[in-house]
Amino acid sequence: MTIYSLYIYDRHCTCVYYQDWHRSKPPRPSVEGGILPAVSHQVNPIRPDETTVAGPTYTNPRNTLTSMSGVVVAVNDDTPAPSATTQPAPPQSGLTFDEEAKLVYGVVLSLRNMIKKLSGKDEQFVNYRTSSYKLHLFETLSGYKFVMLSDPNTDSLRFVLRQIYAGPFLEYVVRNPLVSMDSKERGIDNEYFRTSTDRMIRGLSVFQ
Amino acid sequence: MNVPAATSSLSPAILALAEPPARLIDTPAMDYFLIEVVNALRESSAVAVARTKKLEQEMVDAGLLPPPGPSAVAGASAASKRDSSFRDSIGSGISRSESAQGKSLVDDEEEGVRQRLEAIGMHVGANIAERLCHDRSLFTDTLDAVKFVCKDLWSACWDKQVDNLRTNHRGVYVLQDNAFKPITRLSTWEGRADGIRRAKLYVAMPGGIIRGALARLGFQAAVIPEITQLPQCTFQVKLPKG
Repeated sequence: MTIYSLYIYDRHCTCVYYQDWHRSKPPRPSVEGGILPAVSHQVNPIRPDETTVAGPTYTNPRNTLTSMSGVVVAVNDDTPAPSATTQPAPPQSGLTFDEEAKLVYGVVLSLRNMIKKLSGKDEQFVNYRTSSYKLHLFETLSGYKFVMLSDPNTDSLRFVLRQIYAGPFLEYVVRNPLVSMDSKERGIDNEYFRTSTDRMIRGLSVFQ
Repeated sequence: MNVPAATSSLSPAILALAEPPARLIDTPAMDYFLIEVVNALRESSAVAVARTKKLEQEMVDAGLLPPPGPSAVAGASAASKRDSSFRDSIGSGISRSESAQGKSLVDDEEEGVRQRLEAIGMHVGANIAERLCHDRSLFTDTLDAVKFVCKDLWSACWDKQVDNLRTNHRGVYVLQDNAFKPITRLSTWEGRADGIRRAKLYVAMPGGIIRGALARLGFQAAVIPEITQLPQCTFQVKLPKG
């Protein structure tokens, strides 16, 4: 029983945040211009002059040497990840991240619309399950869509997504002077939001 | 509070006067408002700086100011920064003058926003101090006034007290707050150094509040906020001796 990844989309249908915990293949960095800046350091388009990860390293199971326990290590770490040069990179997924994000959003939107047409506007799309994952959706009235992928045997994680919204999102995104909500040019990634959602997810009983 | 039966003859209006109900404000609403204040002032400062530059350009065109040559660029940029703090670029070499002028535009705007925020803070601090001191005895000395700032002003504005107060007994006080409320939620994507740089703007108004409160109480102070590590903030208060 575990949680794979989290995507957040705003009402302009763009991905504004991405975080993952377990993935079979790490996401490929997106092409230049494919995603907004400030979505995630992991999937930011790599410019040709950058050889090491420019931003601060976040705890991520793919990074070697960081803690594999549930406790979030203090984020005072500005050294670039050594894994870029010390070991061969694991095989990456076939799609770049921006395509992957758009596909996920497309699936969610089409299913939502189909369900509303079939059963009326009081029905809500909650989650769907395949043989290898389960996708949960929580949508806010303001149009933000929280999408979470977990393993197929999990119960509905809507309450988790609602907790993320009521907790870290309202605290460190809405109330953060440096994050512009509803901008069409930037995502909402920032350090406090990332560490607090990480801490919240790792503290759940369904995780690991 | 239980009202004893003997006083039940008092009308609710009199009871309300005796113990005024606390008027509370929703802190997130206040936070959102302050965020927008900074954005609005940024726009306003940009307009003001653009207007000054345009005026200067017109004066240069009309021949009233010396045209900006390589040695006079530093002079022109010095003139434009007349009302803001003295900068290193004035003493810089000729090769740096171009970049200095480009940078000074952004710095001018930032400085403009900071000054406006501090001015707002001074008015707010003065009136808060007026309200908080209405039943208090006179201050015995400057240390007493600074302690008032640390305790009463801080709890009124930011729900806690200052964590650490240091002084050199010669009129310089350092107030340290380990989790200063206006900057607790400040976080960026670019990293901590960028966060610290941008946080400087958001402590300008609190600095003004402290300065305004002390000024209204009769102490002319210079207040310098400093951030070395989010969310910790220190305010250096320089008071004249006595």
